[in-house]
Amino acid sequence: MNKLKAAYAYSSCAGCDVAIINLGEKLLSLSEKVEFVYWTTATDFKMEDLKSHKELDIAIAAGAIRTSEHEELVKLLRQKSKLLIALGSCACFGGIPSLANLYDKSKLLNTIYAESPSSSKKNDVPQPLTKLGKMELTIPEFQEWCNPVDFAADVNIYVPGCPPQEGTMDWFVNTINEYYQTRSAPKGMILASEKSLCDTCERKLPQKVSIDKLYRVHEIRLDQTKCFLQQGVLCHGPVTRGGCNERCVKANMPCKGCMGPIPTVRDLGAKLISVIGTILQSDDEKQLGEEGLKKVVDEIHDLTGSLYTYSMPLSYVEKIRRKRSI
Amino acid sequence: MNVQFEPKIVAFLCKWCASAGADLAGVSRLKYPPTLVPMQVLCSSRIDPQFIMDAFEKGADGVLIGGCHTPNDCHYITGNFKAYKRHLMLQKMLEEAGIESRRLRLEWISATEGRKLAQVATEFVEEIQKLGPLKR
Amino acid sequence: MKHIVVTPATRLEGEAKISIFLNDKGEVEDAFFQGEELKGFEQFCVGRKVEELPRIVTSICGVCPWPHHIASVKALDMLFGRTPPEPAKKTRELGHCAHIIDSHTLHFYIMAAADFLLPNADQSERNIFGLLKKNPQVVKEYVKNRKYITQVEEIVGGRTIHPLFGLPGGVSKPISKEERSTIEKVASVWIEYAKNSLEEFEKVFKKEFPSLNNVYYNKSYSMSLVDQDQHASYYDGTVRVVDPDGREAAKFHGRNYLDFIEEQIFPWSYTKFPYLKKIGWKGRVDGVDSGAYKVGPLARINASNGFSTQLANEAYERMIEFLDKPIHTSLAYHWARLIEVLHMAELMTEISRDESITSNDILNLSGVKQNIGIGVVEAPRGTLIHHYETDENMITKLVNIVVPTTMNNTSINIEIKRAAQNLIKNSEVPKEVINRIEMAFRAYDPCIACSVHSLTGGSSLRLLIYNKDKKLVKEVRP
Repeated sequence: MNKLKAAYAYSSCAGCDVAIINLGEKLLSLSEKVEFVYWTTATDFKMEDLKSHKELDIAIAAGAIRTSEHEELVKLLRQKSKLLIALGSCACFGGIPSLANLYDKSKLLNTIYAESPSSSKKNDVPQPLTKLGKMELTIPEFQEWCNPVDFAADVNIYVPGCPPQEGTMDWFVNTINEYYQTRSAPKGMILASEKSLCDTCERKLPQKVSIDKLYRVHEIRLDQTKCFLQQGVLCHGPVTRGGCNERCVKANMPCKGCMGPIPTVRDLGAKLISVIGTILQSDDEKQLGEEGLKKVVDEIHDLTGSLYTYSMPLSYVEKIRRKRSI
Repeated sequence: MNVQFEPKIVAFLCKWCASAGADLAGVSRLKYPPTLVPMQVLCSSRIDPQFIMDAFEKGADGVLIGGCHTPNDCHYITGNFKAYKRHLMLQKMLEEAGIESRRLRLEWISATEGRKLAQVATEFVEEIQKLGPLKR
Repeated sequence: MKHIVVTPATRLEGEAKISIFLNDKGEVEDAFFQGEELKGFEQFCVGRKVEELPRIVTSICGVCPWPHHIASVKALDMLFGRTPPEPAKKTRELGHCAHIIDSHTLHFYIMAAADFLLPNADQSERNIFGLLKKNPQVVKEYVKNRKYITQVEEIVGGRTIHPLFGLPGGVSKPISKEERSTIEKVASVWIEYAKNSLEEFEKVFKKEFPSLNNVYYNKSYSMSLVDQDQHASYYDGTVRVVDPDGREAAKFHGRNYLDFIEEQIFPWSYTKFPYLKKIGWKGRVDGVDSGAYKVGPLARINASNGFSTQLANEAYERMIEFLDKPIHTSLAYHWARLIEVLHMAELMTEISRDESITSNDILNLSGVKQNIGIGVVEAPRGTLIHHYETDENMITKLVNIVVPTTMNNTSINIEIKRAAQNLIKNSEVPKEVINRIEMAFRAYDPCIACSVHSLTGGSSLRLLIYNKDKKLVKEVRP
């Protein structure tokens, strides 16, 4: 059988590149079936070389679409490739870079360049085109919104995680091996559990929970065995797909949702608000009354950033804001 | 500001109090703008915040939640407190995301308060009219 | 004027391209290394709860998330006025060492080695897969040992890539006795492996070096953290800067960085250009009058008196005997990098032998809050600064991150131009020449995602030669 031609398009932080490298011996075995014809981190193929291929088997997009160049590349690869794989939370949901969607483009550029405390007084903000005498220099322009890959093209396989953990990466390798045998492309396949993290998490939530307040992770000594929600610490477990082996929880830190929402949830942030609303002072609501409860809720900060750390583009608030900006 | 603008309002009203109050308003022939669409739920705590956000995303300019008075009127004892906490958090999230939190309103309206329902509905519609459509 | 664009830069982290302009005589008029990506961390971290930042800033870079995490958590220690207990401090250092081994060897084997071990290979073979065919033992041994070190990262940090164990005043969980023992075993495996790799590389370098030192060099200032004995220091220390002749030019606490470092901005790159404020910005030039400076393994050799561990310090002595300090020949970065791998393996051994790191005393919750926190570490690629300011609710108001590859940006630009000038003859730019030009940046192990961490998109390298009438004359694919 012919080797599969694979192109690794680009990534947000290269964590997914390293996740592939960390496959170690499995990557070496995989290289007997798969030939990387483009992967800037590990090979010397240039954009010309990528464009010269009429057809590819596998295209891997491992970043959010941040610039017009990313978008062009995703569309080009969708055209040429049989399989388009969204690798990592950025490609699947927007990821951490999509927190930038809370701000508009000019504010972002201004803060980073013109107003940075270490910027010298003479300030230029980067431009798509610069003319220096006879020389013309270009850099890609970034778009108004940071998008997951499927906002630009249909994805065959989603591999969530930031970066995808070992079990997910093994599944990824098996999926490619299967494709090598069958040459049959799945559509919208997600390499994660249909159930939430809580289903496999060692820590179990008791039947009834009442918490004093929503604690920030630095405010208390985090117990290593109790469910985080029971401790009053926000954990995305109930609304997040499992399959990551709960590494974060095992390291005694709450889940932040990088595996993406379970299929039964339409907006994971709104759902978590429902959960918090249930357990916040649930034993003492009448004693506290509206005034007392308001005080506890007032201590909650940055709901949006906390709830949608990895999946801002999936949120209703962002969908609404995008419709407004048209 | 578009004077012609007729805001679309979704009102989630609990069966035992607010929705009954809306029926009373109807029977008493008390007027309130027809663009406020009432939907009955068993309890204000049944209102999943996802419904509210979905309503906004699908075109509602404002969302009203009607429940039973605290501390003692809730048919399910503490459902209204749950709704209250969620309401506060949703408003916080809307403000953080740059969406006017006044588009979301929570009122306690008992079954006998038909007049209050009509008043609240009318006031709310006027307020949203001033704010303008959610999607500009 | 001929415009040559090499797109994208390859065998580095991130998105960048090189633009070279040739005048009518076929000489290099100017050359630019352009950082082409941007994300916006310095803006979108504003509004976040500050204690969440260590888990957000790791996403600046997946090749070097650890130093961001650790610098971030050190900034939090300052913000919350908390001193971590010794076991927690040692745990953080342990993770930092393990990661430097990971990051340095990732660069060396996956990105750089092909230039040394397959110098005449075709473009399609000049990579880890080509190396696997020609020299499978080297690759397989690296892959095996890499797995051990990534396991240590997972034990310490929760996850290999994007660790999450850092809390203001400590870490989230203790290391168990079995885990400590595993780490100690891995450290001893790596001392052997690092020693052998270094010896092999020294032979290769000494053979290749004489022919390359006229092409790749940059006589700039060097910066590093040093301890009280002036040894290179990675988790803590004082910032020391030496001039191109090795004389001390500055010594300061990282918290005062704004008095010493400023950044220039050019519209043709998303990466900024830090320089030493007191010397001043003199353009993309090296020398004692220019504020351009370098950071990273070679700079650490220049700005310090060596290493605090025995084998690494012996290796350092061998290096400076061959090359004379201060060292400005950039390919020596690779040599310095491998010495640091050995040093980290030795440090890991020291720390993991200390049984007190399995203590449960890993978090100090008491301290007086303040609204400004600055954390400085030596990342694999150089000095890294995280600076946060908050409001009274400890919500982030300001973020400034000065990153090693950014600090090396001017040096990289100087070297690209120099390499282009030395290697392009008669406007001829065959593929091998393109790779040799790229070797100028590769020495710095650039991490472009880090260098921009603001908002931008990637780059690519391709060589297109146009004549004066803007007609495409030649396309060269490196």
